[in-house]
Amino acid sequence: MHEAGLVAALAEELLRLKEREGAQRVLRFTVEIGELSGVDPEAFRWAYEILREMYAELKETEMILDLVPARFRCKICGREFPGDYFSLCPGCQSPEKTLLSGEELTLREVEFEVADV
Amino acid sequence: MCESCGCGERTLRVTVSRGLLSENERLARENRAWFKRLGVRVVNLVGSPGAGKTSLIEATVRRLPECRVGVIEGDPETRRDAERLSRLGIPVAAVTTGGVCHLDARMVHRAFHELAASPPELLFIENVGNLLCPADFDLGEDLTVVVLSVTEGEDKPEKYPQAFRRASAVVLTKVDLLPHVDFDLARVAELIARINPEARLFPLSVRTGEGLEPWIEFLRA
Ligand SMILES: Nc1nc2c(ncn2[C@@H]2O[C@H](COP(=O)(O)OP(=O)(O)OP(=O)(O)O)[C@@H](O)[C@H]2O)c(=O)[nH]1
Ligand SMILES: [Mg+2]
Ligand SMILES: [Zn+2]
Repeated sequence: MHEAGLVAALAEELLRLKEREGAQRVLRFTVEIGELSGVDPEAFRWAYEILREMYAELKETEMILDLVPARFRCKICGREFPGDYFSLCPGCQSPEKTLLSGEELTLREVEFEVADV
Repeated sequence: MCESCGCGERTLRVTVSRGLLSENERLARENRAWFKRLGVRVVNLVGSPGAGKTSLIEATVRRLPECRVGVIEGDPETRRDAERLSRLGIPVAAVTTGGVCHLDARMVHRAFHELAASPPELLFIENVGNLLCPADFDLGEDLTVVVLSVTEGEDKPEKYPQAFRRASAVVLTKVDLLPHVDFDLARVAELIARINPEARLFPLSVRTGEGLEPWIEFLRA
């Protein structure tokens, strides 16, 4: 998997935002990983730990992973349910459904330390 | 927060909500606009190593003599497939990814510079042999096509649903080998339909030519 490439892009984005905000440090950030995103949270965290060694500015930055469960809505009866691409609606057994959440791969929030002037 | 201790620092919280792949998506949009401007139709072929991607391109080129076809060939280490395709007398731009497991929009952009001077009408991008990683990377293509061979086993859609998720079509190739393998075509079609009801299915064999005609028609449309 390409977790390494993803965290590299993430680090660039964090440093860009830090610059933009004129911040001292990146304290922590939250990444949403959908259950169906194809990204393995363990591998993602591991890739981040390795990457952090290469970026002095991120050495003390904490990553919070928010795992987003997959949810669907049945196109036939409107019921909402958890599951995967193969799940049938527990209400009416229909395979036709809309994905509501679960494919996220998103940097949601960043906390910086800024000097008060 | 440090307001209380008076150390002169405070915490700033910023909501970003930006996709981790958004830079690739931006570059893919640029590629798409470029392809459109030059009138190039682009097909991104994704599939496991040895699924039959290069063979499918070869067979397709032979059946579309009236169409100018070009190829961007993604190979982790070698140029072997690029050389194989060059023998058909078509323009081929090779991308050796240096071990990276997928093509991204930037690599495709660079490679297309080699072809843009006399742009093809139909451009195949043969992605790196891998069902997992290429799924996340939009290259700016018009059609994403998964190449799945019947020798790979029928559990592939269940194992790699992301690959099928955004595919416009799935080519189920090497059907000449069906008598020798456990591969229930109907069951696989059903699994694919669960993941992506819109995907068109093309069971075919490059070896015997069976099923190639509907695929060619699909590309012509
Ligand atoms: N029997 C049979 N063999 C096929 C067919 N299509 C391809 N092959 C064989 O499958 C093998 C792999 O085919 P390629 O076209 O090189 O596969 P690929 O997906 O390009 O492989 P990589 O680029 O290495 O990932 C070759 O030995 C082909 O001759 C087919 O329709 N039937
Ligand atoms: Mg090949
Ligand atoms: Zn229902």
